[in-house]
Amino acid sequence: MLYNSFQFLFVFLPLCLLLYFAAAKVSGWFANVVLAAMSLVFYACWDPWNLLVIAISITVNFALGLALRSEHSKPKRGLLALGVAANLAALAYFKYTNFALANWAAVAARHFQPLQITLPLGISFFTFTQIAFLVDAYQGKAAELGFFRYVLFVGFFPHLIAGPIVHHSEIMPQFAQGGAKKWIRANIHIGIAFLTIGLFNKVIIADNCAPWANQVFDSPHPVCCLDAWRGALAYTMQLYFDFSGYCDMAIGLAMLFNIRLPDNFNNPYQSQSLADFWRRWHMTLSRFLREYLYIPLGGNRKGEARRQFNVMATMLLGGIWHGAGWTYALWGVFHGIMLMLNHAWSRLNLPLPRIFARILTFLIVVIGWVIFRAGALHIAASRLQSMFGLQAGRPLASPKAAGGQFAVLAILLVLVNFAPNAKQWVESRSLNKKRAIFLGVLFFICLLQMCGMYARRSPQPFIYFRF
Amino acid sequence: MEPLQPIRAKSVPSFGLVWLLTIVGAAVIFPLVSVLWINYYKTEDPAWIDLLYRQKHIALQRRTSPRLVIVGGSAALFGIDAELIERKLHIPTVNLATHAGLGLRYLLDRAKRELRPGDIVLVAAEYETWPDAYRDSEGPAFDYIWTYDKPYLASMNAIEAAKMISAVPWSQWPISAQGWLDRRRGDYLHFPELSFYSVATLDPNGDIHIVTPSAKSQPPSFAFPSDPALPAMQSIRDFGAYARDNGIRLLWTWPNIARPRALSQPPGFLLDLLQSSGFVILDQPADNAFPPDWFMDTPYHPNPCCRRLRTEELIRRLRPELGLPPAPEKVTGLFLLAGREHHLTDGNLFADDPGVRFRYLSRDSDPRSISPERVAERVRQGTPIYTDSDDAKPLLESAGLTLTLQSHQIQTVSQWFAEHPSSIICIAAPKNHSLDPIWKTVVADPVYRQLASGFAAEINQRLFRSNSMPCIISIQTSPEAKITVDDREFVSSATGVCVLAIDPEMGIVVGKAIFTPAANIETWRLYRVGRAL
Repeated sequence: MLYNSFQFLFVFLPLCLLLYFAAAKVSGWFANVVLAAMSLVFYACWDPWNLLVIAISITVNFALGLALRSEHSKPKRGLLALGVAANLAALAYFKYTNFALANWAAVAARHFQPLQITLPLGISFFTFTQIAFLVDAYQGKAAELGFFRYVLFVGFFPHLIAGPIVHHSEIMPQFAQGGAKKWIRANIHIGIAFLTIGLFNKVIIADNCAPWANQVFDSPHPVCCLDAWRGALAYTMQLYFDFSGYCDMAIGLAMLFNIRLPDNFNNPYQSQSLADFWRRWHMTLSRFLREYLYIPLGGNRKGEARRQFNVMATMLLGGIWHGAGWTYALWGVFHGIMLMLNHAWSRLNLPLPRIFARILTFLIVVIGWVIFRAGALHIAASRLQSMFGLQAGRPLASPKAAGGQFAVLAILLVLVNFAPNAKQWVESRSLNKKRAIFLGVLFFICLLQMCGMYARRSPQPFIYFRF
Repeated sequence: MEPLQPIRAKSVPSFGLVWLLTIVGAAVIFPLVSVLWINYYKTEDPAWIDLLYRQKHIALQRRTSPRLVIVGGSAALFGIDAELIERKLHIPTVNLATHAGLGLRYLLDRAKRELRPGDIVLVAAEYETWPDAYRDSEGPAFDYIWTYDKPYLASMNAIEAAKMISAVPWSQWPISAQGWLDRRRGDYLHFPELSFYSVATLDPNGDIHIVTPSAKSQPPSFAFPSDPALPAMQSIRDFGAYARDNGIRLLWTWPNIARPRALSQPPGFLLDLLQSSGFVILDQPADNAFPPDWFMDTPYHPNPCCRRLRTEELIRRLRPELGLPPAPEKVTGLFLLAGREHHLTDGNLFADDPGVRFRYLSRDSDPRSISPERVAERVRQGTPIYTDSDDAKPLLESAGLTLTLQSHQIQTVSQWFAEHPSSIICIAAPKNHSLDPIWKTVVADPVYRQLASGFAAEINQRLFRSNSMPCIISIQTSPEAKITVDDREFVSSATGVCVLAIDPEMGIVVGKAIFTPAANIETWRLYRVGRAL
């Protein structure tokens, strides 16, 4: 059940709201139980078998969390290591087994038949969320703990599949608040605004950029320079509007239940440097990697060489976290190298002109996305060669079609550089009647587009669902 | 960990309600505005389909029930000769077939509007018409419905209508503005673009008469529908129920196609569906598969000779269904078709001799073809063999055969004019042409004087008749006399007087001739094949 589906918007969500606020009339605990149950129903709609995986994961981690908080539990460090290892082992099994075996088979020149392993949806997200919880519990930061609230902390349906990756301390107290169980009109309005903007970004912008990017990246032949740039820019826009659209929807959906999820994007394509970019793009993943990987590795506290190593290790693991493929690893390495250069340049204290820094950062990000999207290293190399005029290819689209796409991409470039993001837009002025009409029209346009997509049997899932 | 900052937004109390009402309002207003605004006048296919339906509607109106109505796509439009059926079986027959892109469901729904109790419907649907993907995206049916048959949207259920509305691309909104301008100027008819597939080439029975260049098209991807849940299946059932309620008989013939590599049998569920819906199945798919060389631009468009063969076979199967005695098994004669051109004439009709069989003079390995050597053998056996094709002559001569004129028809100017009493007559004489005085007897004095004066003229006339069936006529007299209809049908001569008759309602050319100073024309001739001496 996708957020951008009629079943979700017109059946599941209204039913969920109705049951939640009806249950809240009985008690806050009961409302949490209902919401947790509905979240698991939402998850089971994808594949009921996955429910078993997440149920085991939640139960085991909850028990570990209880043990880590207990005064009598010794040795805690070993228990934490066991918990983290168990989570990573599960993630590795589901996500990386076939990748590892395929590479081993390639090296050993053996035939490889992929194992039938279905990747449970959102496993990367709920695994990281729970690893963070275990560490917090170990450090004594996980004060709130109740089973159903814990189920909601991990499995609350707005953030379950693709984040934002939440911290125990920022979410659990909200589920405990009695006030969160009331129908708060202001939050409903904010939720509507975020939901509409997110849906528009996903359904109208990202999904319409997708075929342009697919045409270029799925071509088995070399493409010409303009096409390579067209595909790269189209994917740059698709990914941003897809993921930020999802996150806006997630924030909006959570607001309907009076839950504030952390922000995940802050105009990343306006970044002045790559370090700045990682503070604005997928902010909760960056936060997780910083707090639970980079800093434990030593951060910048152990000398420059160790810092560079930590940056590279963090980015490499961040890349691999996205998927089992060498392109993701290379993307992580690429960003690691660029961040190292970024830090080295910073030490020279020679600030670049702002506009130049912004353009340069954007270009580096675009090149990174080409590697990220390519699907195979040779395709990434081919598209990059085309982009820089090192390889010729036949045009994939007519000049008129390509021109139209470039025009739209130019408009999107202006938007991502100058337009406010959803949060800025919602906070900038009052949500008045004019804005209600504006958002209502946007929502209706999305419904029309969704109708068309369903007619063609091609509703597009969110890109980050596969991670 | 810092607590999350709340989202600081002020809102008016009615925000949610206004948002919701906007969506509901848009859901009501948008479809209405779409229906009023969206059109595909800029696209050729809808214009072609609309012109065809307009003409065929007139053809149907002119005939009294019971009528035989042929329903299908262009395979039936090109492949079944309604005029031949009408003249041989003496039942009013109209070829209502148009375009396979409309899908079987629409073709049947559309036919319902034209049918009357007592009619007989013969369905010949291409294999590709079973899935009706037209509700999902642009295509002939989608474009046509959005332009010329918007009331059909109202007959759809809400989900289907929503799909149709949402599938209109945004780019079509500004294009529709251009479409309305084209409509205003009359350019929406696309006569120049459609000059090849011109509605001027239809006959009064709705058959099309064009010979396209042979494209050596690949055999079609032949496949029966495998999904019993296709919407078209339900429309077959609905059509069957409708026919039962209205006393309409249903016949089914498989479409004529260029023979595919593999020709399977229809699945049992499909035959059961057709039979339980009241269809009498006249033939097998293989019966209507012909050598690919007998087809023109698509594997569904047979050339006129192949059409004649296909229709003659169909007529033999139709006879018992229409209460006529079956055609005799004994062959009373053979008529040879040759080349790619063929015209139905009184000479090759053989209406009163159902024992005459038709064969394609070729060396194709098809039971409906006959080689020149085999013809020679049949001649020796005493079988009467006829042809009216000049293309047959060299082939037959190579087998030691000759053609002798059996009969022919001569028509005078007066007879030609008498044959077209209610048509629009166009006349063009070449400049400085000396006019035979016989023309005085058939045209009014001012027209005669003008024709005889040898003047140079160029006339371009757009005719919109009472039924809005448009027709564009162009007449010139220099450097040669030429009359052109809809940029397609024409008659020209540098030495004779050209005449052309247009059906004033259907906008089709019903007669054309060139009268040389002898003032007589030969309308047809029939040869008898014999052994060379």
